[in-house]
Amino acid sequence: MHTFFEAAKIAISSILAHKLRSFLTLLGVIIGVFVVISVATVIEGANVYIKEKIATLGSGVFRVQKASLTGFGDFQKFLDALRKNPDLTIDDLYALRAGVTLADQLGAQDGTAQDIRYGNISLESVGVQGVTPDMITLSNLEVAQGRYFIEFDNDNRRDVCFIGSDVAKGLFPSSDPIGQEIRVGRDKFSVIGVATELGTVLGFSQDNFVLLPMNTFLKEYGSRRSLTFVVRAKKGADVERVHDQVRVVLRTRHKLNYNQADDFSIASDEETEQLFGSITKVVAGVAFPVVGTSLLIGGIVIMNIMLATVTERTREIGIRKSLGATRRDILVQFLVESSMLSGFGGLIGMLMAITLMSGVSKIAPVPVAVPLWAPIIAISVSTLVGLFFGIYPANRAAGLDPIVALRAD
Amino acid sequence: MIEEAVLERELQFVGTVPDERIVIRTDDLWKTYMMGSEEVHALRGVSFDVQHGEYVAIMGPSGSGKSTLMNLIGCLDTPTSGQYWLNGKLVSEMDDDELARIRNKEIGFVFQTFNLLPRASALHNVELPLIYNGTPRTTRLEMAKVSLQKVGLSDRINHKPNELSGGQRQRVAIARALVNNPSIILADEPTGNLDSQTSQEIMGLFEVLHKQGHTIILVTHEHDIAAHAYRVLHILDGRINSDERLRAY
Ligand SMILES: Nc1ncnc2c1ncn2[C@@H]1O[C@H](COP(=O)(O)OP(=O)(O)O)[C@@H](O)[C@H]1O
Ligand SMILES: [Mg+2]
Repeated sequence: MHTFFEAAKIAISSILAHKLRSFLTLLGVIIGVFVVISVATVIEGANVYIKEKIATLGSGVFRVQKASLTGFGDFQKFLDALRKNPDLTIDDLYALRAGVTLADQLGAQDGTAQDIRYGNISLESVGVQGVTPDMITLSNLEVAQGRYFIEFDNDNRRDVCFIGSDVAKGLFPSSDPIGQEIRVGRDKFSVIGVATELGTVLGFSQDNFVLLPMNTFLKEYGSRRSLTFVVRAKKGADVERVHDQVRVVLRTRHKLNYNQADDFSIASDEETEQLFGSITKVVAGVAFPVVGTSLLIGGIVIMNIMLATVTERTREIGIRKSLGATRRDILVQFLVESSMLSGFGGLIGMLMAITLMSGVSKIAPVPVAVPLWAPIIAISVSTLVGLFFGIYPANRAAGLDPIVALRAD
Repeated sequence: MIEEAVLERELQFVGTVPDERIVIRTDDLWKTYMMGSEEVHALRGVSFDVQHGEYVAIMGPSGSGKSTLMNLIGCLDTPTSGQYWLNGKLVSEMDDDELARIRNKEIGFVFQTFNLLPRASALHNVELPLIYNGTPRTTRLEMAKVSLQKVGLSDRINHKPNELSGGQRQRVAIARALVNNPSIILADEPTGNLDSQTSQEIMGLFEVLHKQGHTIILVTHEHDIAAHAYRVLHILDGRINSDERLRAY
């Protein structure tokens, strides 16, 4: 233990005595760890993001769409499906509500973009969505002010709207929006509620929207469009069986034969997460050889520098041996030195990656989060690299004949 | 002056396990180096005893085998043949780790070139032997300070070797040799790199250490340095040529 502390002290002083050489020595390790941590922070950032901002439906909730990218994965297939598959209509919704007995909630939504105006303030290209009143429980929306839609608004196609916080702030910087009439496209709608702020996803605001009751929306923007249905399974129901019920209803309505594929798509957040998971794997697969190569090169450089260090300090080794240092003491000294040197490189690489990535996340919409395991992995992997590649030089040092070593200059 | 009688008497002891007054006993030590296919006999059967508290100089011309003998006595090397007891322990048959332990506990080296660690302070240099035997830190620092005090360097403990004069460096080395309270102090040409006045200073220090009861073995090729010792072993061509008692203890 004493010799360990002595070794650690020697290691620190020799790293500090050759700052530039230490840095160059450690370049490989620094780059390796830098890449690992950078990639890890982006992947972790994306994961956190998807959980918090994109996959917001919760468990047991899924979407039914004409086509979805997550369902197919292949972009060309997605485009083909968009072209070929029949639109999902409000009548499909009613049929689903009647037929899918295992569903707890079954809502629909669809959207377009419109310019909106209040007084002399106007906002361009705001997302306008028609929603069924039950969508409030099928989304992550919350009411900040006023109220959401009720069936009465939808049944009577009332000209009312529920707005996002950006729209509220944009049009009503200093007054109460509730009860005011705003112009959406050609018509006027009175504001009945404002949503709680949602923040941004990948740099895009989630609060720049106007919601209309579904039937009002269809009256206003035409019913020849394909809706997205959002379904929540009853508590305890097997989601697969709910999917099957949806399939039966839609396939019957679309008159599909048993040997024809679905002409619609069912997508859950789990699939969204899986899609991102597969992207993660690709990224990690690309990063791995880069990291492996730089750590290998880094290790070899460390080995060479340690060999040079042993030669340079042959006299010192002789002195230590003459004073009673055993082979083991010398071995430990140089192993500690190479591991600490390399671990120090790992630390630098990690700090550089975290600094750079948090900088990037400030200026670009790249989500960044440092996973807890990152510092542990960075330090321990780099330390192990130093330990492994330090074995050969340390063994050489330990095996030196004290007389020969003392005579060295 | 050669004292045949002393030599004769001591030779009778040789070959048996020595009693506790005898610190060093060598019996027919040979050291043979191979230079290519040729054998070089650096030592050809060296036998002598050193008693506790003696102050012995080993003298001889260059190439006579002084350093080789020194390395054997200092447990830095093992003989090709023959036996060596240190404090009643047969060290000529010990392995690397045991030799390291003996060097740490029993031997205090003083080298011609000082052999201090250049980047370490005087205090840390003196601490080193204690680090390798696991002395706790506070005890270690205390012992190192006491040792530096003995050589008169209490006010220089934080100086690096390059901030010290040659004589001061050698005194740090002596403090280091003393710190573990070894059985013998082995000095190989300790004044070889010092001017004559500083040499006298260092020899004065050895005299003090001798008076305090330390056993000292000094290797030198200079007569006036050897003259400080109480007994001189003359070595020539790897053999002890004479064993001379200069003065009584
Ligand atoms: N490592 C070695 N290999 C070969 N020969 C050696 C070695 N060390 C010493 N010698 C030879 O042994 C003899 C004694 O050397 P040494 O003990 O250094 O003498 P001294 O110290 O008295 O000058 C010399 O002839 C020297 O060349
Ligand atoms: Mg010599």
